[in-house]
Amino acid sequence: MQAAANSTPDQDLVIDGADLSNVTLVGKVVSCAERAGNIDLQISDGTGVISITYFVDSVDSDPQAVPQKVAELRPGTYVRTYGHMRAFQGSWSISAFAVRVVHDFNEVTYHCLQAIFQHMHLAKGAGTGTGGATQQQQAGINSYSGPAAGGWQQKPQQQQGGGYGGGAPVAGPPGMDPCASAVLQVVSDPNTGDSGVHVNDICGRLGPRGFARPQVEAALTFLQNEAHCYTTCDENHWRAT
Amino acid sequence: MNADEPTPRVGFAQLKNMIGRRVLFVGRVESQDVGRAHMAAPDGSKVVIEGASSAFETQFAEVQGVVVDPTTIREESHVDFGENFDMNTYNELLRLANGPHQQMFYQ
Repeated sequence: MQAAANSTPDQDLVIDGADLSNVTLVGKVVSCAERAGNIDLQISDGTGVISITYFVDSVDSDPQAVPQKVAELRPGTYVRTYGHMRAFQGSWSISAFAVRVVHDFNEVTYHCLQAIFQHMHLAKGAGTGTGGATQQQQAGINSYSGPAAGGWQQKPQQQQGGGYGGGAPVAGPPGMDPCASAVLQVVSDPNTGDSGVHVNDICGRLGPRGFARPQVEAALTFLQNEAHCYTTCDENHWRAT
Repeated sequence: MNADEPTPRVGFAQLKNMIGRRVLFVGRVESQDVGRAHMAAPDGSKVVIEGASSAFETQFAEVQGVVVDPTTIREESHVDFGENFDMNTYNELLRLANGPHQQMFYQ
């Protein structure tokens, strides 16, 4: 999943009700130095500064890999990093497995917009209007149509209450029960990887909405029978079709 | 991680409320002299950049600096943003990041 700007200093690392593990971050290098064969970076994205340890994987085959990277990642350079969040000495940092220089700066715009999208996606769901949040979502639409004169959300009245513009990948077919529709929404998250979502994660995300594990499992079986989703690497990982 | 001192991404409209604060400002360089440049904000308004540490080498740039008055920023550093940057999309982002989603970016 993509977690953006880490603007909420939540120490339990749950953002919008979703556990945060893998993240991608776009920011400006503040400092960069080699330490014990890895690279220590500090990245600033305007919302804060975070430390990153970058494990360069080609270090065995190319002894120049680390010095080359250090030379490339000068302070002031914009980079996109991929990694996972790590608690270290009472603070959060990132163990990065990729850090690459941004050449097209539209990526900075894109990343900020994706962060907003992801926040909306997690906070409001994917547009089936399950649960009792319809009124709140409606308020979300109204607050949007004001600034959105640029035309990226042309017809809010046709939305099903998602509140964040087009591109929501799925809306449960009418008549699907609320739990199945909520599960389908979780497994259809556009940022889910190839291996899909673990059933524990689905339960974790839907627990607060009042769906218990047996309900979720029954919904998954139903969705599988209806060809809406399938299991991937094992019977606990699910993806939408 | 330290999120105590965010640097808001601002456009022209926010400058008047940000006097004395450190901000990130993206614009198109219109002219530059030694230590001083004129830029067009994403909404087209004119902004003066004082104390440019080095010359702007591309058409678009992101300036980090302190807001002096509603049309002037004193630069601390800048990043050249190349010749191909979509100011319209960025302007829409500024509306979101300083409007309904401000709490994600700064207080």
